[in-house]
Order: sequence, then C-alpha cells, then structure tokens
Amino acid sequence: MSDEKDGQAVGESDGQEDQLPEGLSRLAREYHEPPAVPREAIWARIRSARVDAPTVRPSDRPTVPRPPDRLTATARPSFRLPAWIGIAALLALGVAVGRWSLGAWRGSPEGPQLAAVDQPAHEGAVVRVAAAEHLSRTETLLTALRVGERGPALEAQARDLLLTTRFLLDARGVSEPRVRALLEDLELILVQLLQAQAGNGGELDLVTDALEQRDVLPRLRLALPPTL
Amino acid sequence: MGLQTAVLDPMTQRAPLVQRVLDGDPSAERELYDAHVDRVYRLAYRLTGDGDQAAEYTQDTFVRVFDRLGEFRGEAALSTWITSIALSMVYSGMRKVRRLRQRETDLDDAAPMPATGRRAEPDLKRKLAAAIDALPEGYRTVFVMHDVEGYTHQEIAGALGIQDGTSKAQLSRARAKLREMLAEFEGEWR
Repeated sequence: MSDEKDGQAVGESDGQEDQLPEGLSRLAREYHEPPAVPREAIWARIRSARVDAPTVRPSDRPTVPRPPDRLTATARPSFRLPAWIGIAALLALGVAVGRWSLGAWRGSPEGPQLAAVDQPAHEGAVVRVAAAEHLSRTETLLTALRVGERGPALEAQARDLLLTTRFLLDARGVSEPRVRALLEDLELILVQLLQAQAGNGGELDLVTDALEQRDVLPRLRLALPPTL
Repeated sequence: MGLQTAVLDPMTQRAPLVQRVLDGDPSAERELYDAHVDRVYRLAYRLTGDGDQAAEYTQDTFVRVFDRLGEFRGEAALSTWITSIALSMVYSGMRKVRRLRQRETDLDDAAPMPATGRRAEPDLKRKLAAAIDALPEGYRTVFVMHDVEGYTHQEIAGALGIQDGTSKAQLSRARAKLREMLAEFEGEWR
C-alpha cells in the first residue's frame, strides 16, 4: 500500500511515519467487514430501476425533457437549447471582455503580439475568460448559500449557472483537468441545490455539506484570476 | 489485497468497454458492473455498516453511472469516477437516514475492562469501531478508504475532488484522533 510522493509539500505527511500500530491497523481492517457482495440481487434492482430509463447514446438524446425523478434529475437534461445559442452567448461575453482587454493592451508593448494569436487559441482564451466570469458568479451564489440565503432568486440564479456550467464543460478551451473537475463538482452541487429547492429545505444541508466535503469554495477561489 | 491491481484500469483498457456500453451492448453493461460492483459495495458497506443501505447505494451508484456514462470524459480513471459517484450516493443517503448518530457508542459508558485477556480484543475492536464512527466525516472517509479498504491517496483525492496532500493530511489527523480516543487501551495495541 505505497503512496506516491511526487509533489509532496514540505512538512506533509507521506503516511508512513504516523501509521497506526500493527495491532490497531489489523483491527481497523475488520471495521464493518463486508459480507459477500449480493451481485445478482443488486443487478436485478438496477435493471428494474432502469426499465424506464435505458442508457441513452449521445447520438440519441431525446429532445423533450424526461419526467424529473431523483436519479434522472441529477443527469444532464435530455433537452438542450440549440448549441449555437449557448456558445454564441459565451463567445459574446468573452469577446466583450476580450475587446475591453484588447483596448487596454493596445496601449502596451504586448499589443502587437496579441494580433498574432491564432484563431483557435484566441477562441480558447475567450472561453477561458468566460469561464473565469462564470466561476466568479458561482462563488458569489455558493457563498450566499453558505450564509443561509434561500429563495426563488437563488434558485433562478442556480439554474442559469447550471446551464452555463454545462455549456462550459462542452466547449473547447476549458481543458485544464482541475478546472474541469471543479466544473463537474459545481454541476453536481447546482443540481443538488435545485433538487433541494424542489424538495424539503432540510436537504439544503446536504448541499452545504457537499461544498465543505469537496473543498469547492477554496478551489473556486484558487481558480479565479486575481483581478476577479 | 488485489485492490491495488484492480484499480489500475488504464484508459486504453477501459475505453472500449465504455464505448460498448454507450453503443447499447447489454453484455457490456453487465461487464462494467461486474468489474466495479465489489469495490463500490465494499466501500458503501464500510461506510454504512449496513447491508441494506450498502445494496441500495450500490444500486443508486450504477443507475447513475449508466445514466451519465456518456459524459465520462476519461480525464480520471473510470474506477475513480465511479467511486466519486458512490461516495455522493452514500453520503446523501446516510444523511437522510441519520443513522450515524444512532450507531455512535458512548465510550464513557463502555463496560469495564475485563480481567481476562480473552475479552480484551473484542472490546478494543468495539471501541475502535466506535472511535472510527465518531471521526468527523472527512477524516472518516479518508481513513476508511485508505487504511481499511486500501485506496491510494491519488484515488481518494480523485474521488473526493481534493488534493493528494489534503488526503494525506486528513488521514494523519484521523489516525491522531484515533490514537487519542484509544489512548487508555494503548497496552493492548502495542
């Protein structure tokens, strides 16, 4: 059971020097010792649960919403706005930010270099700028949620942010693995938030717990550029 | 344990299976399930201590996996992605049931130490289980995944969406907490 030590920060434990004594370790491995896995019984239940919701091939995505339930409501919606609307909105936002930035850059020695940027790279940069804006808005919402804000306005904002999160996940230009992982966690949390809003208020505690468990807010803040 | 080799599922080995599932091959779905169910169920059982709950959360995990498999992009190992979903299912479910508090044992009310050594280990085992139950959720998850089930810090970090260093730090704190809670039994586990 050896762990990689790459990237280990100074002062970080590598798990070796503070291992539990062998007696305790042995007993720990007996903690809630599982019985034999009831494979067939669980498989039967999975098949039963999926009778009305078979695996959907990406090419077969239906164009009407499926009835919301606890399981399918947490998946990506089976309806989508035409992709060009979402991407156009993102690019418009990004271009607007980019033009403002370019205006600022033109007065700098870096201006001529920007003109030499190739189109795909520029597109990626535009999406990244849009992503940064989106993360900032999401941080604001999640911070409000943590301090106890609730209500229809928060729900509406969460829906918008969820849509944008999903467009960003589908767009080119957001390729950095940690940012993508963050966006996926945000997607999950926003879906849970919307489910909780539809259900009882007590489940919102699960959302805030998930925020803590996954270190979402610290990761969000680290992902934001210093100027946002 | 064979877990260390079981978790090594390079994308090149899994990608064809994922594609077969997405293409609607029913045997591929069962194959994917068989490859991962043991690990998911074991983790769910370790965290809940309850067979019915473990089965339910395992079922929920795979329903979600099959529903969202088209969105799996392969940046992480498939096993890590599935583990992440499993943890989400387990903790959502456990909070609803609120059984964690019912299973906590008050260490102060424990039976006095037996005079003979024959009961000592079962008593320590029970105390250790109660101490693990009493760990804060984050520490407990990392401890159970690493020290009990044998996940690496890389896998834990990937499944929980945290840094490797955070996983190591939480494990270290969990172990320290357990030592502290079991200090009076030190003679038995040395």
